[in-house]
Amino acid sequence: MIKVPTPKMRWWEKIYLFEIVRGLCVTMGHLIRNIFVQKNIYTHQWPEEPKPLFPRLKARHRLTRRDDGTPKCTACYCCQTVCPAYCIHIVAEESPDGFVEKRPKQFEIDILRCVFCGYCVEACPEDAIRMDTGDAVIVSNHREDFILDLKFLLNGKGTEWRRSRRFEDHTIARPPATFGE
Amino acid sequence: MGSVTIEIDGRQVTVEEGLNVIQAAQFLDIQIPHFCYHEGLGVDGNCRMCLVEVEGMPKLQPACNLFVKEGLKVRTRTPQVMEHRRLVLECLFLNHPIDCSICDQSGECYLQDYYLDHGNYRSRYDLPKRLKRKRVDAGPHVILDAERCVLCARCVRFCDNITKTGELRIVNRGDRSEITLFPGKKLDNPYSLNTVQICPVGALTSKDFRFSWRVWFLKSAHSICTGCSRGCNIIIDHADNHAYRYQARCNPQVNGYWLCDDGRLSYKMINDHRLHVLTEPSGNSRDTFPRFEEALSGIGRQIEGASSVTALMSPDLSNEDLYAASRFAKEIAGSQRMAAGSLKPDGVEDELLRKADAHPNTSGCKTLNLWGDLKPAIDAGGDLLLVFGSDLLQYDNALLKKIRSSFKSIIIFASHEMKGFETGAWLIPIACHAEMDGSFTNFEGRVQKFDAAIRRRGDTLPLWRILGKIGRAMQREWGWSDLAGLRRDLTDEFPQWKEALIEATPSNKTGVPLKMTGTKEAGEE
Ligand code: SF4
Ligand code: SF4
Ligand code: SF4
Ligand code: SF4
Ligand code: FES
Repeated sequence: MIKVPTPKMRWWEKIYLFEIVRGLCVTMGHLIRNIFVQKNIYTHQWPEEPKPLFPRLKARHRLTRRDDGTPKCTACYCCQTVCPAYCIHIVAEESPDGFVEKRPKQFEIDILRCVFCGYCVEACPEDAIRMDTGDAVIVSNHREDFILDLKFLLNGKGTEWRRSRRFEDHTIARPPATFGE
Repeated sequence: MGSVTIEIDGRQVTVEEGLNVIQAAQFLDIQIPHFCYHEGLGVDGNCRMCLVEVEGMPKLQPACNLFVKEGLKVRTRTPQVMEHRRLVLECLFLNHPIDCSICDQSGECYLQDYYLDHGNYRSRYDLPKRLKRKRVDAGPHVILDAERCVLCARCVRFCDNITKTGELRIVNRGDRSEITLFPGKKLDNPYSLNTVQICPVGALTSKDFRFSWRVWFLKSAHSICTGCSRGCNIIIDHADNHAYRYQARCNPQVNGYWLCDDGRLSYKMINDHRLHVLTEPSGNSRDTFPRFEEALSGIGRQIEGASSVTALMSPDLSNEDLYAASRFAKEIAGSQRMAAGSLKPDGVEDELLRKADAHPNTSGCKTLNLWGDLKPAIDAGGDLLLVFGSDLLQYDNALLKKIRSSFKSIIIFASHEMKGFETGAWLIPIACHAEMDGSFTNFEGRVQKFDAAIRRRGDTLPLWRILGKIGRAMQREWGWSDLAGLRRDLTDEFPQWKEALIEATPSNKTGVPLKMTGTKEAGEE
């Protein structure tokens, strides 16, 4: 057990009267200053005037695309596996394009359950999911609107600075998938 | 066979003669990595992953081809062995597409596992990877990806030695070698999905399971395949109360390591066309609690009022359900005629596993002295027909009409939808084998228990429970509160079940043969 000593109060603090007056002085000081010098009031006209966000903020997710426009996501379920809030729901399907065999048929994030931990981004082996939309305000009157689906996630815009060339796609020709030549 | 004592990593173990070092090490929980060796296929010795150090031998020895001998001293994790494994893995990874995020095998892939155990190196190879054929349609159930193959030849040996159809070969040499089918041939033997199960990597994948779920989400339960009367031992892999696949579970006395494709794909019956709610003859469903109980007393009144009762039982029911159903028919319904039998046409039979009799529990019916011909019982007609099991009336439309005309009322206990009985009969949902504990007796008289895999859906209950409920609705002291009680009663009447149902261990790996039936010798391999 750790004993945390409580600071001892002086006698004038114990009376409270002087302390109340001291606190009121602070309030009155602010009031008088704001009445006479109005341009120094610290107010923020939110949401009309958005506050600049820190560029590394973990904001609303998006899914990235390859150069040819197809989603980078291969529906590996890593993000769904690692998500502590169980808010990602994926259904995989066979892709008809023949280059990457697998793609997501459904990809849903229940943003109301999301705790914005960013684990999904960390887990993704394809750099397919990012939280760089800068979109921190998600408002709606309907619960369904908070379930972000594949189409919505794929059309999210990312902030430019985050682009990395490490994951550039390369197109390689493969031998035909037939037997017995 | 005698037993010998050997030493592995400084620990003594006494094992049977004839085992190899990989098997012997498993008794000590020491895993020796291997690709090409499979217990059901024997030694091939082409992958060289299993090399171990043996005292008195100057070079590393393959553990798969090293059989136990008195005084053998093996070391499996010396620096030399570890370095060797690292190099074998490096070689395998030279041209391997690291497809893990797409590959169905991830989570149960030998390459992934061994890489984590021994890897942690960076690739020293900066030439372009050699590309091979991907997503090749190898047969009706299998897709092949030649790039992921580690050339262990397990699948080749399976097709050569087990099914003796020989569709697969490894062609070319060096880094060009790849797995292929003979020109014009397809991997379409009735056991083709076994190659998917034994492939240590994701080179052969099942069209059915492909991309449907990731294996690390799956939970497993020990069960018995219901496809035919062999009663192959299986694992039901399920997640979110949905069955995703069957995998073969080794039982040398019944199915060895294998499973036929039809049986393996029969898991779909657990999910599809299930009967979930109690339905009245008018076609209304009674799915809420008080209405459900009311319906049961309605059924009870119908049974009490009937003057002549016929009971039909399906050989798809478990031993426990059959026993409960026969007691119910005798003691509660007072039925005059009672028969268990099948109207289903026979399936295909072959030397390996498949049996013509398409029911898992025909022997159980015979042991309980219920087996008989259904047709005379149906022809005789009567007041009330009790049907236990959903497969009985599905195969013969003429018969169906006859039943409707010759019985005044029909009560069907079914796990699946009953075509032709949407109205005109009480439909009572019962659990299927994946949703309850029970046992089947296979064609050789081997009693094998199975465990519940998924939760029951809707209003389904095991048959013996719903019968107890109806008994109580009829104000009769009848029924059992748990399966153990039912099994005790069953074994009091049929003492030959005792060992199998009560004394067998919960995992009951091999099942217990009934002594009184004409038991054949252990199954073919
Ligand atoms: S940020 Fe965290 S909680 Fe939100 S989806 Fe990703 S992993 Fe789940
Ligand atoms: S981890 Fe990445 S690639 Fe995998 S499913 Fe999630 S977004 Fe898709
Ligand atoms: S075979 Fe194994 S290592 Fe290769 S892609 Fe599939 S999971 Fe990954
Ligand atoms: S396909 Fe699989 S089982 Fe067949 S040789 Fe290749 S790795 Fe082995
Ligand atoms: S397992 Fe021994 S060489 Fe392949």
